[in-house]
Amino acid sequence: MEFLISGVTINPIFLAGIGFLVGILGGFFGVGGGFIAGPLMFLTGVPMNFVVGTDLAHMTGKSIVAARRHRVLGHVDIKLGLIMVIGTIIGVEAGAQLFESLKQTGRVDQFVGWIYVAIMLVIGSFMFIESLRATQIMRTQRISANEAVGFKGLSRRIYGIRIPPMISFPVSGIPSISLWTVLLVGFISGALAGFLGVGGGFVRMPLLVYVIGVPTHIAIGTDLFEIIFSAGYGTLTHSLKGNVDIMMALVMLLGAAIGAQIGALSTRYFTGPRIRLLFSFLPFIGAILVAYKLLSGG
Amino acid sequence: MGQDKNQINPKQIPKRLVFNLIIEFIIYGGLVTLYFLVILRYLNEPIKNLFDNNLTFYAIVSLILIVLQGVVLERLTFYILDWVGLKRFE
Repeated sequence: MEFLISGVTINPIFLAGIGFLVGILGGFFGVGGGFIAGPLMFLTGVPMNFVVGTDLAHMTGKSIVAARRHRVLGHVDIKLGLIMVIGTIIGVEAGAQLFESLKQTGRVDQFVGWIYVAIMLVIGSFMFIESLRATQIMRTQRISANEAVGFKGLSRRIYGIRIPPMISFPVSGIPSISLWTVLLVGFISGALAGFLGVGGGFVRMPLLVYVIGVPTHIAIGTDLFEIIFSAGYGTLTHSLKGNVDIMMALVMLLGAAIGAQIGALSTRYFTGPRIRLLFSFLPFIGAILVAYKLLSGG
Repeated sequence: MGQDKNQINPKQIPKRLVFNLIIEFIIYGGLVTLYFLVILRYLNEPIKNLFDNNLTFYAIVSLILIVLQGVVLERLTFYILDWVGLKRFE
């Protein structure tokens, strides 16, 4: 099929297949899946500017499907998601501005790329060690999966910050937390996404679990709920710059919709620590892909 | 915080789940192919004209289309199994 807007001809079944794959990942881990979809789309000949914008557009639709399914399972904290969206959108703009100002210094791609690799390696390593510890705690202390977190100290210290207004999130089991902490977490994940180009979900899901203290399943559902707004905002801004081939995104969404539901439903068969252990491999994959691109000069 | 009420023991995955999934795939695949042939092919050219002539309107239409398709697909897959009389696996 010829996609007139981006001017490329691609087999729609292949596109729907990419959507299906990232749909499963998105529904299961609460990530956008841009680190897989982006390179695959680029390999099929889609120009880079259309890769970014079109991926964001399909992510919006996919997150609607996955978040809705997680909501049915009781895995979405809407109040938390809506508050974080504010911080995220401000963060995305701040990150993008920082990127633009760094552009003037030259070699920005190399600089940003290696920061991305470093952050992904830190997140992946931390989650890998933590989830193994949590699994061990679950076995030895016979506590529930929701309570088994390898490093609980950080969220306990965060709860100690009493800058008003204080807010509660009953769905996530958080009795009281400063509103500013939640906004800051949204801002950090948004700024990294805006600065690094991709990786919002990579950063936000671990931050929700370790910093705010949200149970893993709810962190995934809430992250997806938030992606609806942040990716929707990205779709709008990229469309205005002419970077979105919406026909391509609609075809990708045909596969992503079913993949996202399978991913979302599959979370029911895994405990929080097990999901976090599997999740820890994603940042490594993302880091390897970017490092390869940087080293090969691609 | 107790154990997630929706958590299921992986050993208890019923054969019915796989069967339902296959049925859902077949019906969904058929409907999606129909949608692709009837709607998406005819939408290609008008959308391209909009992209060339009015980028602001194109951006709004793009967002509406992707949100609408997301909502419709979610509803569609949700009701498919009810329609064929199979119990959903969630």
